[in-house]
Amino acid sequence: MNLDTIIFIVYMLGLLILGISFSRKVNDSVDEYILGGRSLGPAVTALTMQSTSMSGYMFMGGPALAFQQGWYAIWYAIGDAGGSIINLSVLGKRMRRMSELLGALSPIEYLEKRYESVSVKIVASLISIVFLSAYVFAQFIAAGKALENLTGLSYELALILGVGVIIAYTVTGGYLAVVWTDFVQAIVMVVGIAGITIMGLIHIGGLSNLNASLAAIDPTYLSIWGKDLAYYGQWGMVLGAILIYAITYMGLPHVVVRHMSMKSTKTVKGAILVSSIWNQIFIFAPYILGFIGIILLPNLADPEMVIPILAYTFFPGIMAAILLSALMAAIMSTSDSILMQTGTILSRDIYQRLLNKNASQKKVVLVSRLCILTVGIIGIIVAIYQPPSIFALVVFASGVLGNSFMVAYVASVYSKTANKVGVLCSMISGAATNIIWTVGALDVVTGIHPFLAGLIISILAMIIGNRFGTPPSEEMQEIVEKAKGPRKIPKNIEKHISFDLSPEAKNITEFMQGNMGLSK
Amino acid sequence: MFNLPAETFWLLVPWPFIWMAAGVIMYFKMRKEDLQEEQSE
Repeated sequence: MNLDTIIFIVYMLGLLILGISFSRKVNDSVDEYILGGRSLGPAVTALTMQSTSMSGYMFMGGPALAFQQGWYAIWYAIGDAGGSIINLSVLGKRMRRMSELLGALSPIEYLEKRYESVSVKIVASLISIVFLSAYVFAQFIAAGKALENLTGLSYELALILGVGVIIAYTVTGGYLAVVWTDFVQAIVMVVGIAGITIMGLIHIGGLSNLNASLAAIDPTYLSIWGKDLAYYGQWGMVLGAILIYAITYMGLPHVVVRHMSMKSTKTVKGAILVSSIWNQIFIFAPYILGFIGIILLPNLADPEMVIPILAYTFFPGIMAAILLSALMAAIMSTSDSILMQTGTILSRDIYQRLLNKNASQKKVVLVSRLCILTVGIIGIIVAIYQPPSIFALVVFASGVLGNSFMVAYVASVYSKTANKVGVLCSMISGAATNIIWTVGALDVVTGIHPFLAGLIISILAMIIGNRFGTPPSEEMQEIVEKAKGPRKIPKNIEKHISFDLSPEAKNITEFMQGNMGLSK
Repeated sequence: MFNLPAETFWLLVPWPFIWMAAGVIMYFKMRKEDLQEEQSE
């Protein structure tokens, strides 16, 4: 057995032990199993959020796009690099407050309680389960492909082994196992990708030499419009490419749940800082490796394998082992979070709230575990029989989820009057637009990215739908107001407050002194 | 710069710095809000 395989196996075992070690803590409490008892600090929140957001796409789909399109691919990285800052700034504090005020444990339960509608929950659950499953199946395919190529195992066996570890610790350890393994994996991911990128750039003579070599092959690799200027002048495609990862995270249930599990609203500021630093180190590197692949691996048959093959061809040994671990870390940290969310939605939102309202905490935890196991097994079967392109599947699934839920989550904390008709229209039309746009290839005809089209339609649907539904109850409007945080006095009033109140204060003092017979 | 066309350089390269600055600004803005909240409690 090679040194790299041994290092990788030790890493997987370490994760398994870490994840399972949380099983005793979470055994019978739904709150602990599903949300980790709302106990996460800034560093864990930031790194679990980012390692969950950055899936196998970052090691396979992203570099493949860079390999095929050159610098145009960086548009996707630009949005991604700011995604967590936008997500935490816009939703962080308000969603943390609101979820506690509503007593919501899952992102779907949150929508149901905020919009006071069972229909919202049913529609949101259906969209989530279908597209979160598609998302996690893409991760499983990525895991199988990577392990097959790098360890020499068969695709099926590699898939079962890799995914088996994820399922094992997620089922036993619940949310805490997921976030703490994510924390470790985020560190492995950034060390692995930064190490291999530095070595790659040294090998090729630096960024300037890299670009000179790209220009010698085809100057359009350096263009912002893609290879052969395929997207020339299509600002709708560029804007969609930026927005899909800049704001989609606000609509992904397995990501927004991180706002709900923070220790307090004070966690947000530290999480923003940590995730900003992590993003700038991590996110651009895979794309640069895609560029290096154009030069070093000109005859590569499968562009999604550019990073693993670069690592194993040019930097075998420990670097390759770290890279393999980092790649699996990206896949596992996303898969475990999605499996966890799917299990939560099925057990908490469907089983407990629709099928068995009197289910005990112990029973809900058991159902959640069984659901995670079932979805995981279905995922393995689907991944064995239908291995499509990872990039296309991740972009499609995340786009549909983002178009369905982003407007719903943002409106839930910023608009007191956002109602159930508005949110239903927004979720359904956002998802439908993205699906129709993608399946009908309307982006080719219109030059508008499916995500941008879905976003515009979902915003319009929310505005129009709101006019038809009844406003939320008085109580809910008060909760939204409370979630905005302590009331501040407007600056212009604060500035003049002492001047405006001084005559009044003087009169009161004189009156009291007169009444009480006090001399000055 | 870095052998990139000017358009590519100026539209793409500054972004990591812009986002990092945004992260730092948001950190201090929220720290101020947290302090104000603590004082008002």
